[in-house]
Amino acid sequence: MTADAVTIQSQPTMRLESRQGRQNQDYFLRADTQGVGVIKLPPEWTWQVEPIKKVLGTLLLPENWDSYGGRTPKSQAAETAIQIIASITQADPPRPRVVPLGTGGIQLEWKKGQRELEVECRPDGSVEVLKIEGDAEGELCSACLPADVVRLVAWLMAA
Amino acid sequence: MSEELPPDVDDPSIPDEEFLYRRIPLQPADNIQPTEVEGECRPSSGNFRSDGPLSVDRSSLTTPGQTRDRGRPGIFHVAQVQAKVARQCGCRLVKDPMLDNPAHILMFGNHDSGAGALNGKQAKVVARAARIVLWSGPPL
Repeated sequence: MTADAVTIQSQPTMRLESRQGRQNQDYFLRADTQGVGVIKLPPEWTWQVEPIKKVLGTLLLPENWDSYGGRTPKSQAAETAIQIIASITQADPPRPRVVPLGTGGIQLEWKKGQRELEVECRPDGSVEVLKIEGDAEGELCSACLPADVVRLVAWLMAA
Repeated sequence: MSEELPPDVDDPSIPDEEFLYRRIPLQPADNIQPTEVEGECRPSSGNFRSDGPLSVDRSSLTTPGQTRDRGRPGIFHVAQVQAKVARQCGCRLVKDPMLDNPAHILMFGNHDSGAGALNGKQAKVVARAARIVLWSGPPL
């Protein structure tokens, strides 16, 4: 699917726009008092649309959404998650699962064969990755950059 | 969770064989995922991430339905995992009975913050072993 604009009826309070005139992909979230609910996406995005919609959807969760005092995911976490998804340029990678965290973060999860990646986008926008192969405990990588995650997705896809 | 946390010391009177229940929100749907067994689901590890120790209920003092219904107003599945799984990955189980929930337990983990939350590895181990035992959504 190719899309340059996606209307999300159930998400009337947010808007994602690309900033024009910049070399790097750069996106931001902002409150939309008009309730327009339009997400403008670069036309080259295809599979990215659905997971990004899921990321944005987590921002609408109420406080205590999990009944254990879970916090609504923070916009910094969403921005990081979107940046990571947008940075993956493979044509048809495995789709990430998008899981809100009670900490106010957002987790992206990939699995292919025996390889798994769990990418925690923290409320402050920082990233921690758990890289797993088979039944092993996995390897934690704190303070990862989105570019590191893209490399790890390539590792995942080589499975 | 109680206002004041109990000491972070594992309580051996909670048997290894005891099941621990946790509510899993139906939405977003990515909160759960299928296992390799047809018709069987497990929670994502994200359901075991928190700012502090994780709240769970003891199966010897409650039922999955009671655990689910403490979560109102919301709709939840219930996942279970055995106490020994949590201990094997370094978590401590501490009784923390509440007025409306005598089955309440806190699971302390080793997150770098020192606040008692599970770290990513611990959450993953627990999630892999957990299974949805009370399904509240439409049939799979």
